[in-house]
Amino acid sequence: MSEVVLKLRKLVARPTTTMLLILVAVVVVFAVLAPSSFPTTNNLRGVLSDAAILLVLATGATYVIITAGIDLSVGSVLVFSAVIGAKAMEATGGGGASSILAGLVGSMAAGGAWGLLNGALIAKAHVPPFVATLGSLGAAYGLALVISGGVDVRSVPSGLVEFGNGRVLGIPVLAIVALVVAALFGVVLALTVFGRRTYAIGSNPESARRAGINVDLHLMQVYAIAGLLAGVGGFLSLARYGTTTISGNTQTNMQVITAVVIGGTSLFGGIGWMLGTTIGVFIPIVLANGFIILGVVPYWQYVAVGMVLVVAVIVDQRRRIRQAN
Amino acid sequence: MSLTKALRTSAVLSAALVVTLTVGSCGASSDSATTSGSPDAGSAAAEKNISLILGTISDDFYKAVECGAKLEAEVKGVNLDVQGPAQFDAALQIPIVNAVAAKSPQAIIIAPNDSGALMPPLKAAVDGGAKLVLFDTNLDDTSLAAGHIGSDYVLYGQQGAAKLAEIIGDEGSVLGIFSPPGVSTNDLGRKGFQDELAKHPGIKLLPFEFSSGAPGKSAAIVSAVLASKPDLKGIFTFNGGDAQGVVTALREAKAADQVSFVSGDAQPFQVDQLQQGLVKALVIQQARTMGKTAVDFAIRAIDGEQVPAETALPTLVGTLDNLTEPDVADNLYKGC
Repeated sequence: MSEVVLKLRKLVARPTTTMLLILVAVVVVFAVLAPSSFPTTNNLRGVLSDAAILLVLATGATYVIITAGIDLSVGSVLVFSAVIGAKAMEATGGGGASSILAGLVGSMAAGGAWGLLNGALIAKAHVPPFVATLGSLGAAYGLALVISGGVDVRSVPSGLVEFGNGRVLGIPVLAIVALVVAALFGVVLALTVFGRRTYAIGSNPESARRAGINVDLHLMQVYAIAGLLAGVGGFLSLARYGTTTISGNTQTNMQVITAVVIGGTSLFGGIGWMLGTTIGVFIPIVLANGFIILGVVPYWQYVAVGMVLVVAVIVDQRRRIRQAN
Repeated sequence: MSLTKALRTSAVLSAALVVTLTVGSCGASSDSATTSGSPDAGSAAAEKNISLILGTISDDFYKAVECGAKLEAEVKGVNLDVQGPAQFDAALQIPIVNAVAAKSPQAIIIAPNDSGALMPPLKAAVDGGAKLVLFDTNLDDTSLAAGHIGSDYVLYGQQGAAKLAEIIGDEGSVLGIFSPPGVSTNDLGRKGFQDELAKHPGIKLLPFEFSSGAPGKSAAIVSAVLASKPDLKGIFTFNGGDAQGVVTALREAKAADQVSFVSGDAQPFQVDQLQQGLVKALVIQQARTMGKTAVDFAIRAIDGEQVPAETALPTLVGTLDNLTEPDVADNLYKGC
């Protein structure tokens, strides 16, 4: 058999490709069923906006899950960072570029700090990632309530909200930011030493350590990235909603993990692609969007997303069994 | 192995695609018939498409609103599409608004999950030509909507206080549990509750406690107050979600005989509690009427008529005696 066919075989067999096929199929089906409303520029813009913040969070979560870790705290850290960002903008006042910058710095610092704390708990105090980030999930949410007094901070500069709901060349600004973030961290993951170490730790932390990788430091960096990106997500959330949405984002962590896993990243670590994560973010969003357009009873949307998730994990498991043989 | 699996996956996908293509083409042709509105298709052109977006699909109050809206849509012969987030969460509701707007319905009826965050997507939908009717919760800028329909929350609090005062014989300490300050409906209800109790000098109003429908929280509150205030005679909760916590705490402290409980809302479990005597009265929002009125307003707005900017439906007091009367029975929080 020729080399081209072999290469094609490998490509088709990759879980990312399977998921891409599913995404394309879903898009085609909806476009055919609702030709006048689904495949429109406006709806595409809506889908891109809906996906943007999740994609930023999922980018960080891809790193975390490749190390065989998990971060349950992203939704709360997002809310916490948004509160800090909003407070920073309130404190600097004016609503001009400098106070918006203060908000960005505030949000990123707040998110990064939670990420570092998660990383330290996991790498230094040897708390399992599930428990450590479950702790931060509650703590970050609680502190967000303490700092805000339980009332949403609404004094977000109108300039920021205009930016958050704006477009460049017809594409929502938030989507551009998210795609740039995903591309940047995707390249780092695929092509740099940092990325290779992330995979190595996920495959086998002990051999990574023996190979001279400072595993503890690396894990802390990975969780810090996830926290930092949750901070970015918090700031983008302020730009999109114009308020801190304290009571919101209760399902964000599960949406993010779902997206990363659908995208072919293995919960057992060592395997994962940023392109897959990007596809994984879009599948549930496109499914929900299309179902709503078709007027399907809302409960079914969750059934469908759940099924796609399970299919993704089955694909992952089969590959692992195959490799083990 | 990997190739066969990949082939199988592709085969299944393409099969599914072919099936849906066939089914889809039928759906598509009928779809275009209603939306193109050619002049000779008189009935099709007059058809109205209205989307109802609930605050959350997992709530009995919204299910009752949905029921009222569906019944009215049937009567008026309009198409009603119902959607809603799994939880009361702006981040989950906004994608739904975006998808609904893509369908270009003539009107959107919504209970916004956040008064600010929902503004941009709803503004985009209104700019796209949809009429907007708000129910239950509201927006910061109401000028976007044709009208808002809610309940008279001051009356809600007043009725709760008056009924509780009557039951406990105008004597003893009373505890009110509401959402924390900042939730507009609860703020109004608290005012009504306080003003009404001021007319009953024999009653001592304890400091307000705050819970937003979390039974664990309300149970902890009631246990603590029971321990510290032996003369507690009555409890009112604004949010029906807190009722289970209050009932549990009273049962655990064996205080159900000394302390009377009146609750807001009328979810199915609360109606059971009323029948069992665990709660003495319910203050009920006219959920079905709200859904019915919202659909009426949407139809009028589509027809270019004015609708009232603000409508506050009076709340009802439900007791064991009037539970089967049509007014009360129809507005209990349940779907249909």
